[in-house]
Parts: sequence; C-alpha cells; structure tokens
Amino acid sequence: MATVTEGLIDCAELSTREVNTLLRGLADGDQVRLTNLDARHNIAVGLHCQAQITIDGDAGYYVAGLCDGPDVVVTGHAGNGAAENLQSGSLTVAGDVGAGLAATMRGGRVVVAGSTGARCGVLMKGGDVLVGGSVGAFSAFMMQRGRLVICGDAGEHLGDSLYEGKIFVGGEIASLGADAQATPATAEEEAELRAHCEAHGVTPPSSFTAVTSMRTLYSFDAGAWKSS
Amino acid sequence: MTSSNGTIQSAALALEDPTLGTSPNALFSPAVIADIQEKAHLGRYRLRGFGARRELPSLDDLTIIPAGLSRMALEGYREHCSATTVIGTRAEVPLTLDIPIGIAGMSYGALSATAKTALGRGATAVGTFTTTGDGGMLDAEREASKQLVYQCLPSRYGFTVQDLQRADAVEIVVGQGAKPGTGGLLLGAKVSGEVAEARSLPEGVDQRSPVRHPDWLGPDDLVIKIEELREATQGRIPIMVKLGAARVVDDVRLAVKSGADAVVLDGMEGGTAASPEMLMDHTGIPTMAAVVEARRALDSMGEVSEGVQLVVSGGIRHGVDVAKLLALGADAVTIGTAALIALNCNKPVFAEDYAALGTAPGACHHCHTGRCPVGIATQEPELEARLDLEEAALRTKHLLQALTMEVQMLARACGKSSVHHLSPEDLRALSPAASAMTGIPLAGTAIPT
Amino acid sequence: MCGIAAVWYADPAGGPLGADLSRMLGRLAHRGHDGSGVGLASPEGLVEVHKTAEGPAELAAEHALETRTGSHGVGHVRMATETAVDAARAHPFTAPGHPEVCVVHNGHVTNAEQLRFALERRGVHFSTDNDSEVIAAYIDAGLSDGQPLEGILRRSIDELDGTFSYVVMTPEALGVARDRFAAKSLMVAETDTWTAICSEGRGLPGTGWRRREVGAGEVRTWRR
Repeated sequence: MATVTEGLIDCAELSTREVNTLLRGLADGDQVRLTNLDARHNIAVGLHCQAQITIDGDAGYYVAGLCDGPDVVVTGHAGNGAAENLQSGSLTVAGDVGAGLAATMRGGRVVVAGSTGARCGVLMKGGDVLVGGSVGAFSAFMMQRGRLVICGDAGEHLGDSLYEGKIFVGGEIASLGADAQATPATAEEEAELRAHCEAHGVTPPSSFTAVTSMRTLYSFDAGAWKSS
Repeated sequence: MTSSNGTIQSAALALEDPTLGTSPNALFSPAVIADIQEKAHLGRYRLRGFGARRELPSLDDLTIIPAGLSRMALEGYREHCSATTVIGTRAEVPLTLDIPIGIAGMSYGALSATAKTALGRGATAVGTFTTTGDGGMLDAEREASKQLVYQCLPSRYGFTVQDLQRADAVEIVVGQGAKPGTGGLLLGAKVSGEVAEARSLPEGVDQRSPVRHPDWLGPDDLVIKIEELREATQGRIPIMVKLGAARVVDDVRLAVKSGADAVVLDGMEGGTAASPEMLMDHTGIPTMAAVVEARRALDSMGEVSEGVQLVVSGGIRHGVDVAKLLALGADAVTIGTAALIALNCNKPVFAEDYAALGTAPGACHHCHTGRCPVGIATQEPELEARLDLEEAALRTKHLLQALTMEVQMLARACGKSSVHHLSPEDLRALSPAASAMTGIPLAGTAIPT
Repeated sequence: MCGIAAVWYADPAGGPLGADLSRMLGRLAHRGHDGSGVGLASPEGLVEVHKTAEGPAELAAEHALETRTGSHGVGHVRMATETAVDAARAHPFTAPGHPEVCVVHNGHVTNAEQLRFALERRGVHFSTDNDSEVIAAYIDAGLSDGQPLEGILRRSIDELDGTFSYVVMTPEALGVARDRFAAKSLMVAETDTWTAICSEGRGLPGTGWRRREVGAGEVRTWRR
C-alpha cells in the first residue's frame, strides 16, 4: 500500500486512483509534495481537506478540479479544466494553462503566472481568478459571479452573455462578447487590483479596463435575444 | 363577405362546392394561421413546455405476441416474473432496482420542491431511482430518494463535490429528446429567490443554459472528464451519458468509447418545461426508432460495450410502452411526463386557472409560465401548496407499480420469467413504417418454412 | 475526435522525427482507439504516410518509427465519429491525387458534404466519405491554383464550418488552423531548434518552455 513519506509522494509507480486516495487521506494543514507525475490528468480531484499540495512539474487536465478546500500549487504548466468547479481553497500555477481554467468555479482563488487558452473563467459562479499573462477566446462566457483579473490581453468575445461577474483586463481586448461593456476601472479598483497582483507575485499592468454586463439579455423580450 | 371566424366566403365558389367556403385549409390550418400571426406579433419564436404534440410514428404501431402452443405462458397471478434491473454494472456499486423504470431528470426550478420530493419518495417506495436536473440537488430530494442520479449538465447550476459524492450515479447530459442540440430555458417567473440562489443567478432573469459543456468539447475530451468524475467518486458509482435521440448510432458509440457505464437515450417525444416551440415537434427521432439504433450500435461494438446498459426515455405512457422498449433492446426506461401526470399534471381541477393561461385540463403545456394550476411546474408558494406531498408520493408509487405490473403481465404472457427476457421476436409491426423503422416483421407476413 | 501531433525542426537536415512523433502519440493514446498514423517529410522533399486501424504502439513497431528521421511530420490517433473504423479512414488524409499534401484533423466539419460536391465538380475523386479528406482536398485545390498555404488556411477559417483543429504538411511547409469556436485544443511549444504541436500539453516534449494554445480562428505556417 502506497503511503506518504515525509510529506512526499513519488507517483512514478502509483496509479492516478492511488495518488488521489492518498490525497483524500490528508488532514487539514498537512503538506505534501507530489513528484514524477508526468503531467498526468485528474490529480488532486474531488478533495475536501484543507491541505497544501504541491505538484512538481506539469499537471494534466482537471488538476484541483471539483475541490473544496485544498491549496494546490503546480510548479510547471497545467492542462485544460484546471480548478474546474473549485468551491474553496486555491490553485496556483507557475506556468501556462490550457483551455477552460476555473470553469464553473464557485469560490476560492486561482492564480496563474503565465497565460491560458480559450474559455478561461467560463460559467464562473464565484471566486477570484488572477492571470498574469493573457487569456484565449470566449473567456468568462456566461460568467455568473466572481472576479476574473487578466493582466495581459483577452481573446475574442470576452464576457459574452455574462451576468453579475466582473472582469478586469490590463492589456488589449480582441473583442467583447454579446451584452458585455468595457469601462475604465475606477481609482479604487485600480488600487485594489494593484495590491492584489502584488500580493500574488504578479506584475500589475499600468491600468485596467473593467468589463461588466449590460443586462440586455436578462429578459427574453428585451431585444438582444432576437438576433443572437 | 367575412364570417365571424374571419374566413372569407366567396359566393361564386360556394355555388360549385358548398363546403369550400368554410372548410379549413389543410396546409394553412387554423393552428398554423394562429402561429404565424403570433410570431408576427412577437418578433421571435414561440415558447412552451410539455413536449412534442404532433402525432409521430409510435410504439402503438407494434404489438406484442404472447405464447400459445409453441411456447408456454406463465401464470399471471402466481408465477414469478423478475423485474430486477441493474444499471452501471461496471461500477463498484451499480444502481440496483426492483423495477425497470426510473424517474427522469427534471430540475428543481422547472418543478417545485414538493414535486421533486414526491417523485423521490414514490420512486424509493418501489425500489427505483429518481434523477436531479438543471438546478442542483435538493436536500429534501436526497433524503427522499434511496437511489438518486446526479445530473452533470452544461450549466453546472448548483453542482458541488459534496452532492456528487452523495449521489448514487452521475448522468452527464449531452442532450435531451425534446430539444437535442440546444440548451435549457427557465423563464424569469420561475427564477424565484431560492432557485436563483441555487443557480447563482440574479433573481427573476430569463435563464438560458448553455448547450455545450464548459470544460470539455467532444468525446475525446469527454474520456478525460469521465475519468475526473470517476476519480472524484473513486470509481464507486456508475457514470452515465444522456443523449437526445438524433445521430443515435454515432453518438451511442462515442458515449461508450468515452467510457460511459450506461447510455441514457431520450427520444423526441421526451418532455421539457420550456423550449422554443418548433424544436419539440421537429427535431430528433422518435423513441421507437432510437432504441433500435442504439441497441444495434451497442451490439456492434464487441467487448467495449460489454456491461454498458441502455436506458431509454421519451413519451412513455404505460407498461405496454415499457415492455415494447425492453423488447427492442432497452435495459431500463425512465418516465418524466407520465410521472408528472401521476402527480396531477393536466388534471381537471382548478379549471379556471387553466383558463387564465388560455388552456384547459388535458391540453395544458404551460409549464414554462410558472403558473402551473396543480402546483408541479411552479415556484409560487400558493400554487405549490396545491400539491400534497404525501398524496403525490403515493400516486408516483402507484403509477410505477402499475406500469411494472403491466410489463410483468405482458412478459408472463410471452412465457418469460424476467421482463428482461422480452426481445424483438416478441413483437410484430402493425404498419409498414413501424416495420421499416424497427426491423420487426409486419404482422401477417409470416410464411411457413 | 482525436489527438494530433506535429513536429518541425529548425534545421532543414531534420531530427529524430519518428521517435518524437511516436512518443507524442503514445501520450495521446487515450484520445482515440480507432486508428493512428503519421506523415513523415524527408529533407529531400519526400513525404510518406503510414496509417493503421491499430494504435500508435503497433504503428511504431510496424514501421520502425524509432529509427526514422525527417525534417517535419504529423501524427494522429483517431476516435471515429461518423465514418467507419479502418486504415483508410485513419489520419493523415492525403489529398486525392497529391499524396504529398497531408492533413491530420480533430473535430467535425459540418459543411463537408457541400465542399465535397464543389471539389468533385472540379474533378477531385475522393476515396473515403470522411470529412477530413475534404480538408486535404480543399487545401490541395488552393495550392493547385497557386495560392499561398497561409492564405488557404486563413480562408478555411471562414469556409469550413463546425469544429476543426488541423495540421497540414507539404514537402516544404507545415501549417496549423483552428476554428473560430476554439473547440479542439491545440498546444504549441517552440524552442530555437524545434516546434511541437499537440492536442494536449502533456504530449509536448518535456517542460521548461512556454506553451500556448492556438487561438480561435488562428492560422500559422512554417516554411523552408
């Protein structure tokens, strides 16, 4: 039976199920480092414990997906759907992430030093995402609540059909999605965002643009639906 | 001149054919005229609930052929006919049911909490499962349901790891029979404070659900998504994939290749609480055709599909429909609309409230309005109070029990000691269309060999 | 649906192409069990295509891929969506009549039948009913008309409907395009000596360099 030895799990000889079973056994406050994961998918999935989990190197799809509590750090890159449906806790990625980062996220915090692919923050329902680099197309699509901060550029159709969430972009916005509007961030927001970036080791851009909902899609007969 | 109903009468034509002046046009029927004029008023497509309304090729065009001399019937009142059904046999803890009929996914939001709870209690009483919907899992529903299937929909409204881990199976919803290829809809009247909070939405918005999942697009990524759900549930419970019946052969095969433990297939007769009107009658394929294609698809796959069960739904009305679907290759079925009708949907009570919606008991399809006169498809407390939980649960139980008895009766008549021994050779087709669609021989065409 | 891999070496003399592609395909194997294949370009401008209804391990063994060098190439593992499972429908698809133009594709082109009809009227004879073969023929038709590869790929973003992330290779070039929905992921990692393209980041060689997703409606080409 595989065990955690001095806070270290060598994953080379372990199945994904065995790795996750070990992680499930962690207690609040435990610290563990995973090595030789080889960018495997579905690691640290479905966890409730408030443990600190560090993945040495790259992680695959859905790392820290369906979690409520743990703080997961990836020292390399991460795959699609990282921190999917995160409820509380955090995911920190030193490198880049694929598509669908923090999809349907409900709470907690995600910090990515690099850039992400398409659909970053899609259907977000809460929580806080900070991307040091840029995000791909359709990011924050149908975002419901929460905050998505992008220090770099945003791809096409940013914030399409968003409800109550708030997006901040430091760089260029390729295009806004339906029902999204861009305004300069307020002075208070700028100050808060700057502090937020610095607190997480991300270099803030010179200024932010805020993207919010125009709410023209809230009602079926309001008009915008008809052409969409 | 113009008559009181608005049709124009021509004196000249009336002389040649006295019926022509007032008989409705078959193509531009009064219903079509009303539809066109309504859209000319709205400037958008129409919405309604319930499901397909037009006549479709149906299971009524098949008949069951019981035993006679060539094989022996079982005694209807004594001899055992098993209805035990297992779904997701590859999982550590499959769904193990006393009857081959479950309750289909319907959301809290589309339905009242009382309706959801009643369905759970009724299902539990007869040893079967119920299913959540596009609005998360209610505590009351979980407590009421011994076996509860947790839907994973594109919207992920109310989806939490805690609910996932207390579910008895997961159903990843790719589509539904009423409106395959489109997302859900819940109009503002039903987005009450509680529903809005469960879905993390502003109260009162016309909520539209996405059609595509946010974190996977296509079966190659679904392989990994299913593994994620398996990891989160430690391989304990079945992971099923629900499809709206359209490109059935390809989709069923892809669901299996993606790793589904069971495929849930919803025919075009399947219901919905709100949909663009045209979709329900004009998209997808009928349940009778879908089950045949799905069974063929599964059987064509060899080992890969071994242990993958087929659950079929869409317009199931009685035990005869269930028996025919089992014979055509379903391992289990689910009912949605029929269960709501058991709860009281379209019952001739509160007729004045039906009238206020512009409809009448027996014809109501106004689930989308949130003004359900019988307290089922509503979030209004005074309407919901019309549905007595205990009585509704009992009626659900009774319907499931009666349907099962009907299936067992038919199976016994065919000489089968399990409802799962019904097979295509127990059927004959009554119409060339049904025969062509199912491959079941047309009655009257048997030739001695 | 599928897994895609491609490699381009900066040095025209090439590198360990067969080993690189087969390692990448091995790491994508879960994305499809209905066939696999590679297209290998040599520095001399020859293109060979090997494909099978089996997986990447069998493919590599059968064609001694570990020993094969080349200047650039593409690879694929297939999950059949709407057409039969056999070697003919494994990828890469070559353009009818021009086997030096080959394509690996992930997705489903929803107007493929209309494009097929238009190409057939130009005299193209297809050998399968697969939508990915239509992409190969579509690109080849543009090349035959003297259009630059990049322009053809750019036009394909508007003219192909549905979902597609594809990589095309010719004896002297490699090109990649992704539909405007950004449906199927395609990750690119680049160093001074090589460029690797893969459906999943985990298929890319090692770690330590930046990687990015090909964007919605984005097109890129590499050329000698």
